[in-house]
Amino acid sequence: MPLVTEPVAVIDNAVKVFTKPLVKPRKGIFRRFVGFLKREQQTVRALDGVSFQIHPGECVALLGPNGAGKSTTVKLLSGILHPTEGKVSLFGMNPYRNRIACAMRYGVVFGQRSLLWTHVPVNESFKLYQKMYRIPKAIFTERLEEFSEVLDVKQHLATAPRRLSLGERMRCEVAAALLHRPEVIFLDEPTVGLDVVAKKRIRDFIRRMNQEENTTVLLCSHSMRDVEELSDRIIMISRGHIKYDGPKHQLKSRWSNERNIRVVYKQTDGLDWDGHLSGIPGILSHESTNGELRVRYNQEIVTVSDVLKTILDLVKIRDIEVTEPSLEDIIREIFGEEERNHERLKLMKPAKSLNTEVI
Amino acid sequence: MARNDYLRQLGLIPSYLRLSLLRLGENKLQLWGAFATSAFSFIFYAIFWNVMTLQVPILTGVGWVVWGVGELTFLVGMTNLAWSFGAFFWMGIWEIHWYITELGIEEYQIRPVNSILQIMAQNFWAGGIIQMSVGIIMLGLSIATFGLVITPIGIVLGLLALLLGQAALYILWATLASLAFWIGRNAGLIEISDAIEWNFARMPIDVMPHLVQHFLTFILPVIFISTVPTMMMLGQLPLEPTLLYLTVAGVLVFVWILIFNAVWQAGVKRYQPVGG
Repeated sequence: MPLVTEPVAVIDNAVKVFTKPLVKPRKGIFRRFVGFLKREQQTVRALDGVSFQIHPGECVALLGPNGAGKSTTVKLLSGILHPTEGKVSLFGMNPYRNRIACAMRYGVVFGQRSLLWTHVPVNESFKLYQKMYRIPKAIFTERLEEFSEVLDVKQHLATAPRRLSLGERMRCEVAAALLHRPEVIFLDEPTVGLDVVAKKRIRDFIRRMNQEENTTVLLCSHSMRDVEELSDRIIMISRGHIKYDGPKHQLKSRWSNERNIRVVYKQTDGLDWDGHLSGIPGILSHESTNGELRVRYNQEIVTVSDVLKTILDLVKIRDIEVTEPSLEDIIREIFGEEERNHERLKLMKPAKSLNTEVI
Repeated sequence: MARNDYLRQLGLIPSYLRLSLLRLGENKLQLWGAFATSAFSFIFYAIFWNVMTLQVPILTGVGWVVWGVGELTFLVGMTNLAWSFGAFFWMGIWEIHWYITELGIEEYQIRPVNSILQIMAQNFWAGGIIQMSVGIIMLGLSIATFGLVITPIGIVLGLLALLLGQAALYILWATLASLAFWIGRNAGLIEISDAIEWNFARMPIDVMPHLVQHFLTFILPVIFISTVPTMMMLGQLPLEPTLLYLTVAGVLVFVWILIFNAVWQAGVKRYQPVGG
């Protein structure tokens, strides 16, 4: 269905530059002393010309390895950070300049930070947020009932967060962030460290908010399960650049010709898989460990029977599994390729890395 | 920002006070510590000034107040009262540099409330009531023991001077703490100012050399948290200097708010997140 609504969030060619001390080994007391007084700084382009738009009701996953710029993007959109260059807009406003007006309309869950008062019962924090967001009492009570049921937080309301388990606390955190029915939710690792039951409850709740209340969701997570279950669209970011921005199914279809074979075999001494498999057209990669071989191949070029024939000629097979690549495999492959390219470039330009500069 | 929104934010203060009281129940030992510190401080300075006034019976400043042992004991009580206000309302100011460099200001930036108001309100320390009680008892004791006379208008003017002076002083510290955006951890800088404040606050500043008096009036306005309120409460300050002191305190608050706002805004703009 084409999106005809005005975007709720826009990032236009955003650049965010950070500085950090350059760690240089110095020999001699005098040089160390000088280094202590005058520290060299290096700039890091955490975001380097990032552009995208998010429309109301979308559920977008922002993916990338550590340090890719995901959290920086969320912090730009929530008005915590100011872009070095480019434009950022949320609800048609500059979120940095109109931080309070925007904060009234969005909710944020940072998996590593808390919205709750650690030493007082959870419901006391909720009451503070009721006043902070001017939630009418009837709606607040109704909302609390709803959360109690869906997120199963009722029995924790009278307990201080420091006495709760991580999963219990996170469910309360999610409730605190969403009490005021935000139009947009930013979720930064909302299920980090949680068990499968707690993860599922939070995912189900977010999906429900998205589907029933048309809440826009921007999710940063390393959990592919979160991404698979929640998002319709994926933005992949690496080293401050967008590598992919499109529907989740399109990303998967790009790799639709790929298959993985996992073979468990009886180990044989001196077996050289590399020598036997590398020359076959269509085999993209392979790895073997302790009697288990994993082969990734393109089924347009080479058939599964051809691959298996080669393997059968060499070893006795105990078990076989042929699978489609998961989203995690695809993403690992994309970022792995990116990392390899970066390493190649670094070797070509040893003095400077791609996105850092010494000042 | 709309006036309505300022009212919404100020309206949160009672809720923060309530949370502060609830939090107090979690650490009862800290309350006893506050009581013991205040009482010990009073006893120590009462003995100190008694011994001092045996050597030098009368300390005369610029001529408005004659500092006998009664006035000096009242001054010590006033210092404790000021100390308790600081502990109650302004504790968060001490934490600013810590939030900037270690904890991150994100959790304050994502809520629809002024970040400084949140940092202050989240650090309201209701245990300050204990120190406040000790301060009031000290003032009462000094009045009863030494036959001092205080007037209602003196109390109002003295408290006004105290609140304005303390606001100026703490906003100055908040400005110093905000330099952490540029220079990183700077707890030492604030501790120096703190040491100057509390060491001078327990003494009648108007008996000191003019240069020191001016420093403690215009640069580090310690004079407003004990000496001036004591003089006003005891009704020993004429109208003209009373108005002058209040005007100076008001102007200092205004100027420091402007400076702090500029430093904070510039700092937030160059803020780098802590831990991702």
